[in-house]
Amino acid sequence: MSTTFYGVLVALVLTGVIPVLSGTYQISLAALHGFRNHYRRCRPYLPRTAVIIPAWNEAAVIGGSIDRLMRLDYPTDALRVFVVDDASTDATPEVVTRKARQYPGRVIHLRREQGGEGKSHTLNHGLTAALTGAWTQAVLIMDADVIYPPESLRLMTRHLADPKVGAVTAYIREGSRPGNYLTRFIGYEYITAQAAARRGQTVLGAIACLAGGAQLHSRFSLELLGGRIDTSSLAEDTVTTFELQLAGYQVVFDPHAQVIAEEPGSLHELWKQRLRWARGNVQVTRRYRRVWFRRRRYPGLGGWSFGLFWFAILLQPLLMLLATGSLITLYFTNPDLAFTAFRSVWIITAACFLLITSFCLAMDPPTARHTWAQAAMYPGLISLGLIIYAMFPGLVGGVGLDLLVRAGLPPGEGVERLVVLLIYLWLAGSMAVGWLATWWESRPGGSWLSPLLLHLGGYGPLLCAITVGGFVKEFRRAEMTWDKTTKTGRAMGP
Amino acid sequence: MNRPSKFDEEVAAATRYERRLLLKAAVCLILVTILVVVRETFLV
Repeated sequence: MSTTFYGVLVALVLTGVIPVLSGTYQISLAALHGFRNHYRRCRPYLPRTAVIIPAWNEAAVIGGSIDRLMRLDYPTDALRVFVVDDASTDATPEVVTRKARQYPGRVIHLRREQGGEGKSHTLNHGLTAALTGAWTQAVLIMDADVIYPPESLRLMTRHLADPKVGAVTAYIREGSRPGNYLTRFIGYEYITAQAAARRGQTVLGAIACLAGGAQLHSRFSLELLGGRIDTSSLAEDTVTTFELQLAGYQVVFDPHAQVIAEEPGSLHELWKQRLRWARGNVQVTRRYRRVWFRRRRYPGLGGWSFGLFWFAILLQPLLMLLATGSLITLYFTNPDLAFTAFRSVWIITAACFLLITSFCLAMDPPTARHTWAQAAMYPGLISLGLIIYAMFPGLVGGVGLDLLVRAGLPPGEGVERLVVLLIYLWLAGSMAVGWLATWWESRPGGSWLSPLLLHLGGYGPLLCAITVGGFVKEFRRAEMTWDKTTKTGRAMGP
Repeated sequence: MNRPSKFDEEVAAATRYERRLLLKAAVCLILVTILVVVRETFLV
């Protein structure tokens, strides 16, 4: 075999670390957020704000959310809540009607008799009502379960004092109490994906997405979009974010404006929610194909760094498959080189993992206090073992050998080759384990086997598996259904 | 002397917190570097 052949294979194996390097780059940028942010252009500003809450069968949470909004540290005559009841079949209409009576003129109940068209249609119903007349100066779009602490809205509106700002988004923290292993994984994920990544994006000058449950718009920016939210995509919040920035408005992430949301407590619910997000991201990628990597024409969103962040996440499963395939090919043609490439991948992964995890935990100590174990297990226990093996092969190799002997498997060439092959396959195999954990959840033994599989395979690989699902659905042009995540009201405020 | 307003205090607190992130990142980077150096020097 030629040197070029091996060189190409090693390069393809190393593509497996692109997502983790890109993630480290993005999160490292968050360290500079103290020097590049929007705080110096903030002013005390309390615009008349219309809050729009799309609600479909939200009886368990909507009453509490409205009460919390009424207790906001915000002028009472500058806040109106529009609940858009999307033809709910539970007690939502009764709860909202009761609240409208309790807070006359401040809570408005809008009812859609024909529901089920999706969140963006429901939001547009509310926007039409909120933007009629001149009262509304800003619009807060939120989810029915999201809890707004008293100061949160005020911390968001201060950015709208700058007319260049079109929208502001808050940091959504997972707030299920008591939570379970999955909500704690999500809690840590939100530190990385919101608190850290969005700070990094702010430093770059482009935000990927306004959080669906906490987005504040100026009236002017919404009117620029025609006073309506896009209805052709499953990622309507990302489309809004892109459109505003392409129109020249700035989108601000304020990590100190914090709200609390209830996130899925089961893998099935998580898969449903994230599949919708993954499909939406594929749609957004297609829709804005003119934007990617065109820095001069589209500064910010068209920048190389932003493109790297976007595509590294979107293509992560494909890169993992490519790296695994190349490593296996290398193993059968040049085992020594395969081992060197394998160790390089995992040593780089180890260093990035340690850096990302320690920095993210330090970034949000209250969340870190109850999610540090999930942070450590984020890549999965088996990957964690591989990371330790790559760092200390002599130490782990000896223990592994000892375990094999104790298990009655004396080390021989056959066993060794099989173990090495399984280890090399793991990068892609972990995604399959993530899928299996979800599949098994509703089957016999799922209550213990499913969490066990997830901890072994890892939460990160599960998200990659869902991205693959998103690609498959989009490739098959599956129908766009809005599978709503069930909310039970277990999120607790501060 | 005028007391700073609540708004000014909140902005100052946020800015302080954000600037401290650089220090936290530096500490994390130093710790990871030490770990890698120790590994390369003593444990290979």
